[in-house]
Amino acid sequence: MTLPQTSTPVLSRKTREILNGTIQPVVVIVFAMIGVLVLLAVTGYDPAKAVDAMARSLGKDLGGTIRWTTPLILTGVASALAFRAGVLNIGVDGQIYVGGIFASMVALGPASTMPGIIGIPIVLGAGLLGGALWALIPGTLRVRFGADELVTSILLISVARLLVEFLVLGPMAAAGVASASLGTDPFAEGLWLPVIIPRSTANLGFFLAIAVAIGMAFLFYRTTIGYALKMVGQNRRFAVYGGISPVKTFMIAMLGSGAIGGLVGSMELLGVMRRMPQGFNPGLGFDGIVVALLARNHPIACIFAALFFGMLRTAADNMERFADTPRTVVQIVQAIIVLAVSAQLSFGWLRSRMNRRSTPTSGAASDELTSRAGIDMPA
Amino acid sequence: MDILNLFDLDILAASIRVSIPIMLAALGGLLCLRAGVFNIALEGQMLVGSFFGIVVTEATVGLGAQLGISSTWFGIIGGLLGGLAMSMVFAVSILRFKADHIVAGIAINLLALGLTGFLLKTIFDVQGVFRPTDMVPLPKIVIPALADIPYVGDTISGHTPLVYLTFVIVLVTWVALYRMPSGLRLRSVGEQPDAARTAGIKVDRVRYQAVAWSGLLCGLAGTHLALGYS
Repeated sequence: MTLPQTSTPVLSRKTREILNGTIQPVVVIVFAMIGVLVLLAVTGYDPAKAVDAMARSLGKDLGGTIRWTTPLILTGVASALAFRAGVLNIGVDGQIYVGGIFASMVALGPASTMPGIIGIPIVLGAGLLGGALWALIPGTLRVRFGADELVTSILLISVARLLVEFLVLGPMAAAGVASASLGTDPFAEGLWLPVIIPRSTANLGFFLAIAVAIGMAFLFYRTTIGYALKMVGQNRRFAVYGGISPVKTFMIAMLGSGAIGGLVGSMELLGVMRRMPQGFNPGLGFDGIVVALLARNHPIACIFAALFFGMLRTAADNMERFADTPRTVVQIVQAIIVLAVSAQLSFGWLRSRMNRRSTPTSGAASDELTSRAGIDMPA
Repeated sequence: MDILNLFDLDILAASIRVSIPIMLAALGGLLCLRAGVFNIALEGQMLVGSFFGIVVTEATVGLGAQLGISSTWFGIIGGLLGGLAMSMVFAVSILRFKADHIVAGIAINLLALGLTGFLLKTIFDVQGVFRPTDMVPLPKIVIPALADIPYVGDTISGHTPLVYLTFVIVLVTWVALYRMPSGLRLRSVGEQPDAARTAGIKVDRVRYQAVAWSGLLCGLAGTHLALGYS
C-alpha cells in the first residue's frame, strides 16, 4: 500500500510512484499463489511438491523460463503499444502466425543460402512486415468502415491459424515422408538464433526482446509519437483539438503492434521451432494482453511481468512432469491475477473505453474515428 | 459430394440440434449487450455450465434411479447454477470493481478453462474428455401435431425437451424485451444509462440481472452441449 508520506521524505515523487505501481501487482501475485496452493492442498495434491517444481523454473530449468519470457516480453509490448492509444488489438495471435508465414517463406526461399548475419535480420524483417500487413486488415476496416477492431482482429486469429495449417499441408509441406506433426522443412542451420543457455531453447532473441522493450519505452516517453499515442488513448477530443490526427495515430498503434507480433512469430520459428509447424503459437498473444495489463502498459515493466509469466509457463510444464499436478492450475493463477489487477488497476484508459462502449450513441457521435468513416458503432 | 445432400433431412435435424447452444448463448449475449455490458465471458459461463451439468448428472445417478427419473434433469439444474455462478463472478468484477468488460471476460474464460480442466483431473482423474458410462440421456419427445406434417415431420419433431424449450425462450425473450416494462428498462440502461438513472432506474441492478440471465442461458447451452446429444 501507500508508504506513509512523513516517513519517506528521502524518496522522490517518482520513486514513490514506481513503488506504488509495483507493490500492488506483487501483492496480487502473492495472494493468487497462496490461494492456488491452498486449492491444491484442499484437493489432495502436495503443495510442497508443486512449489518445488515451480522453483525448478528459476534453477535447473531457467532456460525454459527465458525461452517463454522472450516472446511474452514482445507480445506484452505489442499489446501495450495498442492499448496506450486505446486501440483494442486483441488479435496479436493472428499477427504472430502471419509473421511466421512470411518469415518461413523467406527463410526457406531467398535467405536459405545466406550467412546468418545477413539472413537472420532479413527473415526477422519479413516477420515484422507480415505482422503489420495482417494488422492492416482490422486497421483499415476500422478507419474506413467503422468496424470494431476488437472483433475483427479476434476473428482474424482463426483465419491466420488455418492459413498456416493450409500452407503446411500443401504448398509448404515438408518433403519426403509425412511425419506425425505437420510442418515445413527445417530452416538452414545458419539461420537459427544462437542458443544462450546450453541444453535449452533460450536464444539470442531474449536480448532482442529486451532491446525492443527499451526502444518502446523511449518511443512512449521521449518522442512526439509516444505523446500522440497517449493523448489519443486518454482523451481523443482533446488530442484532436491539439492537432493530433487520431486516424494516423490509430494506424501507428495498430501496425506497430502487429509488426511486433509478426516479429514474435519469426523469432519463435528461428529460435525455437527451426521450421514452421502447424499451430506453432500456443496463445502467446493472449498472454501478452495479460502481461501488458500487469505492467500497466509500461514497456520496461513488461519485461518483468513477462518474466513472471514465463516462469509460470515453465512451472506448469515442471509441475505436470515432476509433481503430478495438472498444469491447468497455472491458468487459474493467471485468471485470478488478471481479474484482480483489472479490477483495481486498469481504471484510466479502460474506463474511458468502457464508457464509449456502454453508451454507443453518445460515445460514437463524438468519436472522430467512426464519424470520419461516416458509420456509427452498432447500438 | 452431391450438393443436394446439404438438404438431407437428417442433416437438417442435426443442424437444429447443433444450433441450440449457439442460440441460447446468443440470447444471453443479446441481453447483456442491450443492457450495455459487453459480455465475452459467455464462453467461460458455458464451459462451467457444461462441466457442472455432467458432474451433477454423474453424482445424482443413484438418486435419479431411486426417484425413477433421469438424473440428467438434476444435471440441467447443476448446469444452470454453474453458468449463473460464473456470470456472477464476471458481473461483480465489472460492476462492483469496474474492471474492463473485455479484460474481465478474457480472465473469466481463462478461469473457466483452468478450473474445469483442473477439476476434471481431480474429480474424474482424466484429462481432456470424460465419458460417463451410466448416464441416461434426455428423452426424445415426439410432438404428434408436428410429426404428422408430411416430409419435414421427422426433422422438426423428435428432439429433446431442451430444443423445444429454446425456441420458447426465444419468444419469451422477445416479449420480455419489447412488450414488458422490465425490457424497456433494460434497453434504456443500455442506450442511455444516465437518462435511465435520472428516471429512477437502478442501472447496476438491471445490469446484474442481465448478466445473471446470460449466465443461466449459457449454463443451459453448456448443459445441452454436454448432455443433449445422445
